[in-house]
Amino acid sequence: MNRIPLSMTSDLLHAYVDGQLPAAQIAEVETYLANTPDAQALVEGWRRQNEAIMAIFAPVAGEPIPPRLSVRQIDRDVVSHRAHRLRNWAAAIVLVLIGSAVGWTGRDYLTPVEAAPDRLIEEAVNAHTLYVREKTHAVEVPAGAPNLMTWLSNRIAVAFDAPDLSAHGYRFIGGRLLPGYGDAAAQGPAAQLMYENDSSQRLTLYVTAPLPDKKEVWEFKTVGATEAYYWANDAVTCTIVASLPEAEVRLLGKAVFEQLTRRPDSTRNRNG
Amino acid sequence: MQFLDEIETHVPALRRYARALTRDTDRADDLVQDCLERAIRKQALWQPTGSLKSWLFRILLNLYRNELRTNRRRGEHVAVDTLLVEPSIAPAQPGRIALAEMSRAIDLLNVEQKEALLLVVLDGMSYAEAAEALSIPIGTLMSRLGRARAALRTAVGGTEEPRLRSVK
Repeated sequence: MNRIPLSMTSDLLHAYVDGQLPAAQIAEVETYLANTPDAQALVEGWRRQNEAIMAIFAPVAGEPIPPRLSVRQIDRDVVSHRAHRLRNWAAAIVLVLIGSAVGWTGRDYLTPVEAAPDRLIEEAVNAHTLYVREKTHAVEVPAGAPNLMTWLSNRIAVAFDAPDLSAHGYRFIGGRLLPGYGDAAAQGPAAQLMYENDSSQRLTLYVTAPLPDKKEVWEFKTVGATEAYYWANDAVTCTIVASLPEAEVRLLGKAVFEQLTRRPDSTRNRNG
Repeated sequence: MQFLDEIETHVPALRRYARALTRDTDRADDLVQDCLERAIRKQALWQPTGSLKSWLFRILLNLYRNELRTNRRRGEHVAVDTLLVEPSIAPAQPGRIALAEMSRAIDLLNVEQKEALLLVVLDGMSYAEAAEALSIPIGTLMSRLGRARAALRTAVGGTEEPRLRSVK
């Protein structure tokens, strides 16, 4: 075996097999191979590998190109997709502008003026103040009238009975239907029940259907000399209004709420 | 339009290379389709000083590697066109490598070696182009090529690689 020239690296042999050897070096490599059987076998083996690889895969390049690999078609898709995206952006910007304009114009309508419980308390206090000072027409329908509670229950869409507050010295004297608070369409009407004690002190209950959120809420509010105790749950809202010390109102409230929360018994109609 | 025309001339080679990498006609064409879309979308990024062919193959290779990573994370991907070899190819002749055996051996190559070998042999890329497509230095390309060929030689039952290390 001849001595291997130092310049003869495997890189050169690869280049020879792959046809990438500079022309000037081909003769040199061939001379080397002719004198080096091991290297020649190696190179021959590589050449066969190359042939095999070509035999296996080369035919793929001759296959007809499927339509989805059409460069023109893909180009059209890319362009139209881009245009589409531009249009989407433009549409999005227009929507944002319209939204902003509408939002700005409608800001007064969209801002909640007052929370519903506050409106209810206000209405309850107003109605109380208005009617408790009436002597002969304090109530629309007196307590003894037939079907008073059935009528009110139907009108406010809450089945309820007038709470019995006789244990606290208050007598139910009757009730009336009221238009409800704010936009009545949203909340529906309210029922006002009036009670009186022996010293002609009066208190009223202001009852409506439950609010849309049906949350259980308690609120106590002092308006001038009047105390309002508001309470809501998933069945009803009720505001007790009275010119009494807060502690007493709370006590009355407890009695009212206990009776209103107890589902009314349809067979028991104290006004029937 | 010239850009598109030039891309178009490389589609058969891209398909062939993708098929050799994946052994799956649909997967291969998916890769080529993604590659073409990406190339067309990013044509502004192509430097006319470089080789368009290398650039296209680099895009294809990136997609292929992403797919490999995804599949590896997903666990398994079994869809190999085993029939690629059999029908149209003449039976092994003496002194030739049985193609089915070779086909399996290529499949079993380490991915980096397979990528390098196929670029050089199947696509006839110059070493410089192949190195560019793979984003590696030429020295790395040559060593992958050498290891790929040694592995194939061992796998198809050839003798051990003669000790040419002394050559260096």
